[in-house]
Amino acid sequence: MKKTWLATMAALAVASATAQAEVNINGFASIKAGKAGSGDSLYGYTDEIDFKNESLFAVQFQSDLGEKLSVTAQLMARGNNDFDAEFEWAFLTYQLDDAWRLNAGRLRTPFYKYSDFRDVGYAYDWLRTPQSVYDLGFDTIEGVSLYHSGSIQNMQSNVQLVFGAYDGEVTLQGTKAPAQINNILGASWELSQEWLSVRVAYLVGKVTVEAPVFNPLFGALNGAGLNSIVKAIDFDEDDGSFFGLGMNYDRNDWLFVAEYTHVKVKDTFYANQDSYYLSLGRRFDSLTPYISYEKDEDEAKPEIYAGLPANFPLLLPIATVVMSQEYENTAWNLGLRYDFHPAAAFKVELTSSKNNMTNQKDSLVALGVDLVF
Amino acid sequence: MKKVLLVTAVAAMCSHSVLAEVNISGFASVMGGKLTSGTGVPEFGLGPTFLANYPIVGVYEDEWTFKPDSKFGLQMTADLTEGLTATVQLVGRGADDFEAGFEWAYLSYELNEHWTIQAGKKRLPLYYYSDFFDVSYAYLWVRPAADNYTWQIFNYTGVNAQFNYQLGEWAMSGNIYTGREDDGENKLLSEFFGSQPVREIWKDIVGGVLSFNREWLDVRLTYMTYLNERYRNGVQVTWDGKDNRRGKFAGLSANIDYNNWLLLSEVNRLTLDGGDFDTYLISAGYRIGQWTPYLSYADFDSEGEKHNTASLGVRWDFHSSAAFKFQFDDVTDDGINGGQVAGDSKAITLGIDLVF
Repeated sequence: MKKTWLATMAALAVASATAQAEVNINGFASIKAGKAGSGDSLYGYTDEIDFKNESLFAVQFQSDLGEKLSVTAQLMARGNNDFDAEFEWAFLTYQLDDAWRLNAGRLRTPFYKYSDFRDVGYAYDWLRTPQSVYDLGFDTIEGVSLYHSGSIQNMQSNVQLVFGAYDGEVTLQGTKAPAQINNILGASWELSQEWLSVRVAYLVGKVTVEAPVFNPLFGALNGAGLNSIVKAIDFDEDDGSFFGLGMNYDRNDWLFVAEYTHVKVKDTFYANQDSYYLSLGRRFDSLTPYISYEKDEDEAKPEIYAGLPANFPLLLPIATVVMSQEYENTAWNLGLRYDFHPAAAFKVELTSSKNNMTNQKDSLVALGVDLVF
Repeated sequence: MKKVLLVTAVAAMCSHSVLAEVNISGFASVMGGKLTSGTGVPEFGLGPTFLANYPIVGVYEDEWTFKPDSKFGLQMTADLTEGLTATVQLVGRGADDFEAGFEWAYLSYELNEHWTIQAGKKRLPLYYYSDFFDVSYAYLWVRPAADNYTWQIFNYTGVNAQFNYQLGEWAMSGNIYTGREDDGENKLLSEFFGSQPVREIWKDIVGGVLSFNREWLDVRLTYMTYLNERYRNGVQVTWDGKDNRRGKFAGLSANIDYNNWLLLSEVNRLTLDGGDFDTYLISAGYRIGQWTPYLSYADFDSEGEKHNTASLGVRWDFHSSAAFKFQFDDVTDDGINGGQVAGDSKAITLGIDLVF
């Protein structure tokens, strides 16, 4: 009896063991513990020892369906999310030809040099990526991405174009707020040769952030006929942009990495943010000590309320909100990576962070193991 | 006895997989879409919205989004031999921010060539496409019509017995099931139809499905009855002074796959609180090589809530286990007396469904 398309499809869907393509499984894990100095708090740690904050487990499933199509799903459980599992990566890949490749689904946003493997601690020397730079509070988007890999002169060239949307949370003044970033469009380009690579990234998007805490102020401003001030503060489909520059030098066992980012969202009270880090390391067989310096400089926008009369009753609350974005922070990190196993590394890192606005200093020690399998 | 326990515990800790072979398969959909126009429902403060999936609140708006219909599933089946298998399906849906959850988790025991008993968590097999709702590759459209697949409960935990017999030319198969579902915070009722947490309970579920299949014809009958209890913000909801109400669901579907023509239909009625909620869908497609253009029309009709969707689309089987789909949907919301859902909308969706 000839099976109809309908019957074939239904059977395919409910039969559980019709494994048609081979599924490859690998993964990575990090078990880390940390403790901030007495009375300090930094990067999610307090002065009580914590094992969950930066620990994570991930299992990656990858299946090649043939005919240029493959699928990748990464199931991630983070300690700071109580090890609840979610699909951190979930995308299809279509290899158009040797040079061009299309990904679609939930993807890493190509903000930073280490965006793709930020969670795979084993892939870099630090205990964590420098937080002054890696601090947007979100890493993924849903959309499509087009990759081109080729060579220019004797250099490897990788270009990534991305389009999509983000619907989740962003970090605003250290707290998480629900946000939507629509029509994200971006590109990154990395040029590399044996010991040197440089990378540039630029992304734009329409940013909407819900911050009900401002509603009373906005209500009062609208009531006073100052909707222009509301518009200059709130996030309502406002133009956001991200610019990133990075470089990596790895020669004669010396390692130097640097990244600079500039983030702004027009017509909002979001400060123009400049961040960078410099990191120097030296490989001695299985030991790699490193030192890094990072700085985050956020420039508030007092021009938002500059035109208001000095005796305007809402001036103080507006100025407080706007100027709360002014921020300057520096940090030093001293760390060591010890490759005690072919697929695992032990790391320890000391951080001393200083808020230059308040002169508050926070220190942190963290250690643990990163591994891949 | 102590030793047995200890051995079991050690086995559990070492995860010695000497007993069973585990097969892994999966499915994925990546779909992007946006409204081309929409009215929303001003009286609820709802902007232009296309509600593509009721139970998980998959919503398209004015800007491109890839979340409402995108999903990834991993299915693992352990064959424990002697007729026993264990199956789990881990699904992450864009509409739920790709949080991974077990959609299926059940044991199957094959009694004989005709009967299989299963126990655990499964999908509630109300509709024709309920069992494989997430495996979009297995059906023609981007999604089964939202107007039909509206019910807030789509899983249950219980036991069921599946059977299949050959009756002359006809292949007959069926499923009898019983169980319950207690959804601590139901997404549709808590987030879309309200703003307070709603705990939705469907208990004393008893139902059955009977399918007949012969060459190009496929007919399916479905019936289910359940007792509904609900808590809004922790306070039990009452209906006419009673703290529960009985719902009865019945449906019929007939599908034809003949000479490259596909004719798909489904009619369902839920009777609840003395009111009828009627749904139907009808769809036609014609296969031309790798391409299958299709039309469909689906309708929901109750006392206050009335809406329908006309859809036009094409499925392109560009790969042996993946299909590209493009679909245009035109929703008309004729709800009265506050029975509107998301207003009128027109939307496009496109993307890829695959299985692996």
